[in-house]
Amino acid sequence: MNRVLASLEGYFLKDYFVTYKEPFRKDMKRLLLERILLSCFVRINAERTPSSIYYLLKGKRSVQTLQDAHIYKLEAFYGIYKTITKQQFDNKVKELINIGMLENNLELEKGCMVSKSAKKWLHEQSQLLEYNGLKYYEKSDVFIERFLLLIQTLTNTKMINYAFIPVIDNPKVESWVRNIYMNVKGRETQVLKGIYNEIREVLQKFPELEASIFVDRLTGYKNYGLSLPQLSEKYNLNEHDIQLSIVQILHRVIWRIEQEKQKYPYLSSFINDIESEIQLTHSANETYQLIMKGFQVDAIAQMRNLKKNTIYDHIVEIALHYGDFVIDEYVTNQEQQDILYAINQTNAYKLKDIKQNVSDHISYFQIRLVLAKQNRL
Amino acid sequence: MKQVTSLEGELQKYFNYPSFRRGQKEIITDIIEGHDVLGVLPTGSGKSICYQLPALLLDGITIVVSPLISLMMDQVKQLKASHFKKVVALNSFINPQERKQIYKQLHLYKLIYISPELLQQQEILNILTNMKVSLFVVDEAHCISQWGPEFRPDYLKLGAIIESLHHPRTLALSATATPEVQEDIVSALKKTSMKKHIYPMDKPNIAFCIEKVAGDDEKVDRLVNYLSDYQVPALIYFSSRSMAEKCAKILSKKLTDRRIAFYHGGMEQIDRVQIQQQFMNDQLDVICCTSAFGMGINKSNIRLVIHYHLPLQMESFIQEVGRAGRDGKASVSLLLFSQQDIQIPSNMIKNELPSETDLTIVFQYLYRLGIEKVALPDNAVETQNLLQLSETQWRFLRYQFEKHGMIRKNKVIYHQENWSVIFQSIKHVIVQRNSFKENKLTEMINWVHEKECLRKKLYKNFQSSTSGASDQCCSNCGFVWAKWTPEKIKASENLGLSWEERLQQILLVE
Ligand SMILES: Nc1ncnc2c1ncn2[C@@H]1O[C@H](COP(=O)(O)OP(=O)(O)O)[C@@H](O)[C@H]1O
Ligand SMILES: [Zn+2]
Repeated sequence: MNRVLASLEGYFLKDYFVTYKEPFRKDMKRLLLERILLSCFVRINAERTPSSIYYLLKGKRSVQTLQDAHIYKLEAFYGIYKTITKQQFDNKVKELINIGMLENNLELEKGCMVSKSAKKWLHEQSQLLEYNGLKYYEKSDVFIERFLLLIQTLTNTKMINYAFIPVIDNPKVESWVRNIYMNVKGRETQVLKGIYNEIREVLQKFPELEASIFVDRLTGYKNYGLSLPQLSEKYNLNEHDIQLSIVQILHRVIWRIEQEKQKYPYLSSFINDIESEIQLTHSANETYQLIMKGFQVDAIAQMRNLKKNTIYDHIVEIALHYGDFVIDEYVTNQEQQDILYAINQTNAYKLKDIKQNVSDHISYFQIRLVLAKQNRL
Repeated sequence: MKQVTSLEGELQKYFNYPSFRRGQKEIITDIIEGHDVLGVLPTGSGKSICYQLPALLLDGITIVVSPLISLMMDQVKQLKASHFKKVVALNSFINPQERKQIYKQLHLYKLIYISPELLQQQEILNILTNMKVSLFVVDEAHCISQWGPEFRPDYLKLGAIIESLHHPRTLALSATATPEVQEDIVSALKKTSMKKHIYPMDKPNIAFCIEKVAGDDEKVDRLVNYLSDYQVPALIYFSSRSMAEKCAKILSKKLTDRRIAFYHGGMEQIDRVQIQQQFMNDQLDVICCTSAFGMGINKSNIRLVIHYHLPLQMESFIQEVGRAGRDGKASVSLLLFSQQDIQIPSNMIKNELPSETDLTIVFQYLYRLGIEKVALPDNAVETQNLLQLSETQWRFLRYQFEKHGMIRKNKVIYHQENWSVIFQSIKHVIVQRNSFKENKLTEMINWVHEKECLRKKLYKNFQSSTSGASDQCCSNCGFVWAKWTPEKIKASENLGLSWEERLQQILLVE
């Protein structure tokens, strides 16, 4: 089998694939993933492994990832590419190393530095990267799923067709759409017109290409939207670019809507009820409740039958979440000063380096806690 | 049971069909009268009605066991779309929280689709045992038989489950069951008095063509030729996802006026629905796909089904070909064969079940867990990744281990002597199963090299006679492309519109 496929592979690649021989020619339009990755690598400055960026893009709900997002001011990119696989990510990083954009003198699992030429290239990019990941990573999913399903539903019911296969298969979204539908039944024409006016106005503020991609994704009555590979073919963009473009449009659209709620009553109704803030994980919240009742770490660990380190993790998460959470009970004022001084000294956020520059009795937990607090300010 | 005045009336009332198709009424009547039934009807003949109507007419709930997640989802969606709301699909893709929620309200449903894996879980079984199950349906029942095209170990346990549900009447359905397989179904379900309704599966309006080519380049050339001659809804089957993708790319480049896309199980849900529906809706001409496409697809005007790769067995081939020409108009099945193709399916067969090396590694792993008294991970995916096994491989092994008492729930029970015997026995099963499939493949390959009528040979294991061709018969009896003149489909119009205009069109704004 391999032989046949391999020979075919050659055939396909030679004749039909657009390969990035000169990967960053000026006229290449997007390369969003490359730009985002490089931007992350610049900020992280080899203090974290590449995987930390993978988790950031996936929107991993771990304290570490959230903390990284804050520390390195990468909140914008949190959770903007949830469908990327580890393999795709690793391949892309390897590719960036191979073409000299990234340098890793150590092994790949350590950090990577961005090369001079790559930095220059990044600067030359005129199109903005406009994401608001930490704020919209969840909202944008809800928005688009509701939007797609509502449009499909209203256009079909307007045409008196009640038998259609929904493009979104998500019970929560379904029930939201059902509610709206009950309210607007019989007024489909008017509602569709309203949505049309609003979304057209919002999309007009963005580049033609993005608006066009957004519209092609929509499904109406007897009119099904394009799949990601189809979009990728139509616009001659790779799939990363398509996915990241869609997320970017969504973040922009939501941002616009939130700026002028009164102007976009229909569109606002898609997101009015959604929390933007990241919620504490269930387990951390339980710990939080116990702390508020005055229990100590040891006691909580015992009561909940968890490791002490897990409780420490919760506390860091809580500190990240609630800006006013007081940490003095876990790190004395003096220790906090020491840690802050060490951070300044090393000018880095590498836990190990910081640890080496403070007195031995200060723990990693205490350092992380101070970092968490620091980045909320 | 409700008073049934006329089954036709009920069919009209609930499904809006004026009359039954062949076999439906006979099967439904037997079910309503309380018999166990085995129904073998060709794909597309309307098997689902055979239990959907009884589900509405009988008092309690109807359980449908179906091995294919995507199929389940499609059917549930179709039913919901057509006002049959009291239906739910349970499978391991639904997250546990949601599942709990559904369990609580299970009594609200009339029709419950469930995957065989989930049905093994005590929790759901307890709930079902306390409900009135009036009909138990085994869809794709050939999966019970190790002589069937896709043996599913979980299916073997269905007999026991039917027993614990206090023997509700049972309906087993399949589109592809040789007499051998039929016997297996009856004995595995322990329902010896099943009434059999077997219907022929040959399709008089499909012509069978086999074209032998030198290699992949020539295959692509032929595809380009035929697809540019004919603008008709077409499916091209591949045995790998990546080939389906690549070929779709090539064809789109070469045939710019055809709308071509690919489809396989690795795509996102929304993309799958959109592609499938575009095709249904004539927004697409050609789909390059794997066998994941087509389950539950009801497009009546598919004219051309091409096999780019050799299917593993006649059963799959018959199923896939059966998607062509449901409207009875002249359609064509084309199989492109090159000598090198034989490698692909035989590798696929080897990889489907674990190799002896895999088996050794898994035994070592279990041994460690057994000695250290560590449980298996709850999440099967974790185990699969750790041991580098495919889902099918691990499912197979797990079944074997449970059967031999090596694992119970997630606990490993080590027993030195037994284990070496078990190892040999599992190895034996694998060898047997592989050679069985090799034989199936040989059958398929022999058919390709057949000199006599392809139609007759294709169906000979399934039915005693075929009804002959209504148009051209096959490439051995003489097939001429020029004599095949299917109707062209209309191309869509909205090319060249600006995004504002398209938006307006989609949202139906005047
Ligand atoms: N009696 C009938 N009259 C008209 N259409 C029917 C009838 N029974 C079934 N159908 C339609 O035939 C199609 C195929 O049915 P399905 O149950 O999916 O087939 P199968 O499972 O046998 O492949 C469906 O679209 C179904 O709605
Ligand atoms: Zn013939």
